[in-house]
Amino acid sequence: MKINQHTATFALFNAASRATANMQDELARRQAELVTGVHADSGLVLGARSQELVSFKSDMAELERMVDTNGVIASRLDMTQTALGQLNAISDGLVEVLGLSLGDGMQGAMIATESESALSQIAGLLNTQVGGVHIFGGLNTADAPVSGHIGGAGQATFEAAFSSHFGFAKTDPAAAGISAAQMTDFLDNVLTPRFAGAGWAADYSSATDEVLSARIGPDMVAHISVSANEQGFRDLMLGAVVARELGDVALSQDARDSAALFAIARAKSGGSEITTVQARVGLIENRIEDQNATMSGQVDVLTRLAGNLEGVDPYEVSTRINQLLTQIEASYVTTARIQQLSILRYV
Amino acid sequence: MTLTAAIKIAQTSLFNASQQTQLAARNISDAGNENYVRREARVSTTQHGARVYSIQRADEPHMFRSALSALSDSAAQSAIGEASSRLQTIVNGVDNRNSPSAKIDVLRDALQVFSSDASNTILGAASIDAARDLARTVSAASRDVQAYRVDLDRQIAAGVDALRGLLVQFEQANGQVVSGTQAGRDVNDALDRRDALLKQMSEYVSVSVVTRGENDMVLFAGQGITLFETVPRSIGFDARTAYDATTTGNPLRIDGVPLHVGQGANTSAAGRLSALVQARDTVAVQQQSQLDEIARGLVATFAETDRTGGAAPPAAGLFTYSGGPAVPSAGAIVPGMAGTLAVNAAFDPERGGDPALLRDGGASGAAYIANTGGGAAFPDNLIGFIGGLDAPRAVDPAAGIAGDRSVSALAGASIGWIENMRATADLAAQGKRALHDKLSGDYLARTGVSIDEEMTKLIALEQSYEASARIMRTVDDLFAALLAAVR
Repeated sequence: MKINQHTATFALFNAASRATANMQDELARRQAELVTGVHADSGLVLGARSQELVSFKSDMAELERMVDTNGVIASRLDMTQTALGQLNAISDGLVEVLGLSLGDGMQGAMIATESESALSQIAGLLNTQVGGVHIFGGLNTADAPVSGHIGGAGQATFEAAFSSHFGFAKTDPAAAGISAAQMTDFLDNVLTPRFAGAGWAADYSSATDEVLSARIGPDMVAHISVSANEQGFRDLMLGAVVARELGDVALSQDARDSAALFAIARAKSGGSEITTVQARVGLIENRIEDQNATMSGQVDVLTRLAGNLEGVDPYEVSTRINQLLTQIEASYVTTARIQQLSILRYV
Repeated sequence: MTLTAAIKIAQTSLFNASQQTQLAARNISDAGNENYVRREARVSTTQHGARVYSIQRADEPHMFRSALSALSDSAAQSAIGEASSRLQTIVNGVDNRNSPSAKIDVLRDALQVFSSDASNTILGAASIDAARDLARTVSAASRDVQAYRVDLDRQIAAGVDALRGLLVQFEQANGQVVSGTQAGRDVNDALDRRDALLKQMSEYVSVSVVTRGENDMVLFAGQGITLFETVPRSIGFDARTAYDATTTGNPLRIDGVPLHVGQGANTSAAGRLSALVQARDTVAVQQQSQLDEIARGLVATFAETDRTGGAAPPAAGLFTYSGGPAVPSAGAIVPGMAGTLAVNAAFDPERGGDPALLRDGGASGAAYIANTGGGAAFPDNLIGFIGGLDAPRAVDPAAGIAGDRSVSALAGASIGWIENMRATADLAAQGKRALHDKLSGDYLARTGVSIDEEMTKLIALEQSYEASARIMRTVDDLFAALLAAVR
């Protein structure tokens, strides 16, 4: 007789073993997931979508880093604003002091002292460093961009230009004979060009006209510094140089006044140019803040998207763990019961 | 006359009972052996009662064949799954932490910091460090992929040896079956052994079986290559001891015919050997191509161009390779390029180079200097490189990743490619294993020994034995009574 429903004892005993092993394997993975909050092997779960996860994480790292570097840039711009504010104050002070000397020949020494201190302050401010970077250096951030006037190339140039134009040094008594018109001609046509282009670079500045650019956002490159070669700085410097060099020289009152008026005009125009630069720097600061806000928002979104991809629902996982524990326990119990189940116990 | 007949019948019954008890004992002793097919006694009616005339194996050849084929499929699929997991770890590391993609991110990060403070040479050196780490990762991955191909060859060779050994044993078992069948002996043990060998062989190659007269078996491997006919056919394979990106592996030949190579992540291969050849010749080769394309992308991204408007060709910049300083042409794989990818010594402070060249350009000559003004904080070149990492360029379709991709996107796509392969292979392996578990479980349940059944039979046999013995005693008593009456 052939028994149709034959079941071998070996098969009966081993039926649950593979299933139990699978469940134990899953239990281990689920436990890891519960602790880490992400898939134990996200590659196996995501397959081709792993690429998205990689790209999200890479973008997140890049954006976070840009927020960091923007922080450094912002601190430099902050220092730039402070320096610009002080330069503006210097311009105001210079205008005030020079105003006192108009029609008053007795203020010479005071003007020379004030303007000399203004000159050294201007150079000091334009040589501001943040973390080893000279912020007014243009691309040439390694060297201090501005060299001082007193005792420097600038002073020598001024004295040489004065002597060659008038035929005598400014300390010569003949200086008293210079007319207002002659003085204006010297200032406008001889001295002013020395503060433009090559003369400025040779005597005062090693900064480049080109300024730093930086990536402040994805696909967003902006100029992030101010060069010491800005017109405003040159004007202010010119005004201060004229005040320092001619303020205390024995000139006729007319010539002295025309020099003072020239210096006032330069200092004023320098001040207003610097205000424009301040506004420009403010705009850059705003853009950086905007970019930071945008990028933080993007990082939040990316974090969520990456979480959706690789994260696991802790509630679901713990439910599954309980389920697995129950199943494994049931499998143990049945296996034990099946092993008890033998006709040998009854014969 | 009838009493004598009765005793004869009782004798037959005792003989039957002892034969069947012996059979039950044999069955029970092999109840734990999964290669044992239970035996059943065939009885027939004779003049002197039922008589055991043969011992039959409760075989199920069709179930056995389907289980064998499922075993081959499952073995091949898990081999592909293992190979793709292995490659994933070799190239990308755990959680992709050591992947070219992750290292490109680190380099981009270093460049971003350097570009925001370009006069800081320490940041420049940090960028070079990141670049060196990236180059080392890519070239090490390339070498490891080739080493893995050598390893695969070793596994194939080991499989071939095992298969040859199994075939020799098979020849022996088959010989015993044939000669035993001719002589009319009980060949069931030899049949068990032959089936067990078939199972073992199916793990290596898919085996189809044709049974001829006298229980002789002919085996065919894969798509009908003769594997065994009276004697084993030759299996030829030369393992290589070294691979590089341009090396093609030797084919595995059975009886002079190359074995079918599997295709796809849900592989068409049956049997481990065919899947291993697939892993060596397809999966590993494509992975290598992707590494080569990543290397080419890096060299091209950081290449220096002539800034003077002259016609000097682009030259390898930060990254160079054995074919440098020439920059490879666009859209075509340079086989083996990944293996030689390195940071240009001119940039590398560890080899006397100057990291500032990364900012200024000009490693290949004055015409290539980007920072013509000499500004210490010149950032434009660096910003250009960061943009270049994300700028699409043509990728050779042979790398298995279609479309134009930036080097960073290509590295990401390469991770997607291998993970897709792993996930698909894993899913398919689960299915194929489940099928094999089911089929072989069914076969085992149907052909194995049930102790309960054997015990029930034993009880019946005991009863029958007792009854037969009782008959003999009764007949003996009857004879005794008769003889006493006669005396």
